Amino acid sequence: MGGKGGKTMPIPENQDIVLMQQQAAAQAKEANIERDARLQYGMSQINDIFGGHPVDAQMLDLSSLNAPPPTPDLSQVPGYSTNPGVVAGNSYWDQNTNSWQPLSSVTGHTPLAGGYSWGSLPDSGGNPQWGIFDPGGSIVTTADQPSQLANAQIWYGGDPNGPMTGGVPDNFYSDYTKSITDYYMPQEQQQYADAKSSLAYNLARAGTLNSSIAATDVGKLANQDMMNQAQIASQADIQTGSLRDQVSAAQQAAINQLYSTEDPTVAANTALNSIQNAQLQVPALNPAGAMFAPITAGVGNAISGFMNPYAYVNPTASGTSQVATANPNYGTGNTTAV
Amino acid sequence: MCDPVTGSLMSLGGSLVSGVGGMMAAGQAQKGMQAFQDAQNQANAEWVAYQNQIRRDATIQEQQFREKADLARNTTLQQIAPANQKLQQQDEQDRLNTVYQNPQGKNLTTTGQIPANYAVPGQDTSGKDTPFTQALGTAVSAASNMARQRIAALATTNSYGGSFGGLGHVVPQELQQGGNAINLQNAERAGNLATYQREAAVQPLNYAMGPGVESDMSMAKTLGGLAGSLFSKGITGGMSSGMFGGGGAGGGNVSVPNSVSSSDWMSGGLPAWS
Repeated sequence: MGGKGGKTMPIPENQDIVLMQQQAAAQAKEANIERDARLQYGMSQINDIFGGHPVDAQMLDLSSLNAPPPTPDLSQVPGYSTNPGVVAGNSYWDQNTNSWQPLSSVTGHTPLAGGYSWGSLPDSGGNPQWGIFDPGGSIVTTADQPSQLANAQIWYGGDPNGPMTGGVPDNFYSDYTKSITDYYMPQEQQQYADAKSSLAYNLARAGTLNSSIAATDVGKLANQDMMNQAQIASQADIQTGSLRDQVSAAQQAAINQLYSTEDPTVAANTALNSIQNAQLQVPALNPAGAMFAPITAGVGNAISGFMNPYAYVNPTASGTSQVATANPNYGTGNTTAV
Repeated sequence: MCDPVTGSLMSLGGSLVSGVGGMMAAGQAQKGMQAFQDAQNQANAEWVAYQNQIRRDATIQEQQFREKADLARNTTLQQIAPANQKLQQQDEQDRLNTVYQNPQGKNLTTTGQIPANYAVPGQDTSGKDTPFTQALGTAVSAASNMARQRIAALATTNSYGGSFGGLGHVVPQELQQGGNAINLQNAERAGNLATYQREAAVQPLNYAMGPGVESDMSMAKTLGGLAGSLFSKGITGGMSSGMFGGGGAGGGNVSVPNSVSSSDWMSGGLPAWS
C-alpha cells in the first residue's frame, strides 16, 4: 500500500531556493558588517592623518601577520574526524546551517597586543576575508590576505582628551603665517623708514624739525606704521584661515572618497596627498603698494616761508622795521612753533 | 452463473472488502495530510519567528544608529549655540588683538611708551623735559591709543569672520564634522536596511504532499467508489423486489420513500432507514 515509509513524508519543494536565499542573506549581513568596519576604520584613519592621535597611544603591532598563520586545531571542527573534506581553506562546512563558516569561529582568533586579535571572517560571498578584532570582538578592518592586513595602522590606548600628536603639524599654520609677515613686514619697515626720512627732510626744510608740528606728524606716521603692521598681521591670519579651510576641504574630499570606495587605503592615500598638497600651498604674496600716505607736514610752512618776504635778510633794504631782521633760528630746525 | 443470492452475497463481500480497503487508504491519506499540514505550519511558524527576529534586530540597530546620529547632531548644536559662538568669538578677538598689537614681537604697548623709537632722523630726543620731547611723547601716545582702538576694532570684526579662528571658519567646520558623524551613521543605517531587506526576502519553506499521500487518496477514492458500486449491484441484482419497497439508487444516494407524506415528516412518523 502507498503511504508506507517516506512516501507519505511532506517534502519542502523550495528547499534549495530557501537555502540559497538564507545563505545570500547571511553573506549580505556579513558583507555589511565588514563594510561598516571599513568605513569606521577609514574615518578613524582620516581623522588620525588630519587630527593626530593621543601622544600616549600605541600603534598595534601587526608584524606577526606577515608570517604564515598558525595551523588551526582542526579537531575542533565538527565532523572533521569522520570527514576531513568539511574543511576547505580557512572555512569549514557547517552542517547545521548548511553553509561555509570561518575556521576561526571554532578554532578562535590569533591574539595580538592590547586585547586585539585577528582571524578569518565568515563568508561574505566573495574572496575569503581576514579581519582584525578589537578587544570587544568587533571587526576593526578587513583584508583579502593577512599580509595586507598587516599594513593597517591602528592606534590604541591613550587619553583622547589629552595632548595629541601627528596630524597637521603644530607649526604648519604658524609657519604659513610667518612666511607672509616675513614677506610684507620688511617692505613696510622700508616704506616706514623712507617716510620718516621724507618727513625729516620736509620738516628740516621747513625749519620745524623739533617743533610740536613735527611731533604731531611723527605721531601720524607712527599711527600709520602701527596700523600697517596690524593690517599685515591681519591679512596673514586671514590667509592662514583660508589654508585651514583648504585642509578641511581636503579632509572632506578624503571622506567622500571613502564613501565612494569603501576602501580605507584609497581614502588614506588621498588624505596624505591632500596634506602634502596643502603644505605646498603658496601664500598669495604680491608686492605691497604704498602703505604710507604722504605727510605734507612742513611743506606748507616751507612754502609760506619762501613766500614770506620778511623771512629773508635783505642787506639792501632801507626800511627801519625791525622785522626785516632775519630770524637767526629759521632754517636751523630749532624753531618750536608752539 | 451463480444464483442471485450467492451473487448478492459475493457483491456484498466484495463491497465490504473494498470498503475496508478504502477506509484504510483514506486513513493513511488523512495521516499524510496531517503530516503535511503540520510540516507546513511548523515551517510557517519558523518563518514568522525568523521574520520577527530580523525585524527586531534591524529595528534595534536602526535605533542605535539614530541615537548616535542624534548625539552628533546635539553635540554640533551645542558647539554652535549662540552662547558658545559668543565665547569663541571673544577668545578669537582676544587672540587677534594680541597678534595684531604684537606683530613680530614688537609690542605696541611697550614701544608706544618710548616716543624716541618713532622720532625721525635729526630730531633731538635726548632731553626729557624739553617742549619737543613732551610734544612728541603726547603725539606718539595719542597715535598709539588711536591705533590700539582701531586694531581692537579690527580684531573684533575679523573674529566674527575670516580670521584663523573666526566664526566664519569655525562654525562651518563644526557643522561639517557633525555632518560627517551623522553621514557615517546614515551610511551604516542604509547598509543595515539593505541587509534587512535581503533577510526579509527569504521565503518560507513550501511543503508538498508526498507521492504516497496522493496515491493513498486516489486509492481510497477508487475503493470507496468500487464498494459503492458493488453494494448497489448487489441490491439491484439479488433483491430486485427491493428491500425498502421502492428500489434505490446506487452510489450511496438515498431518496425519500414515496409512501412518506409531508405530514409524516412533520409528525415525525418517518419509517426506519435500516
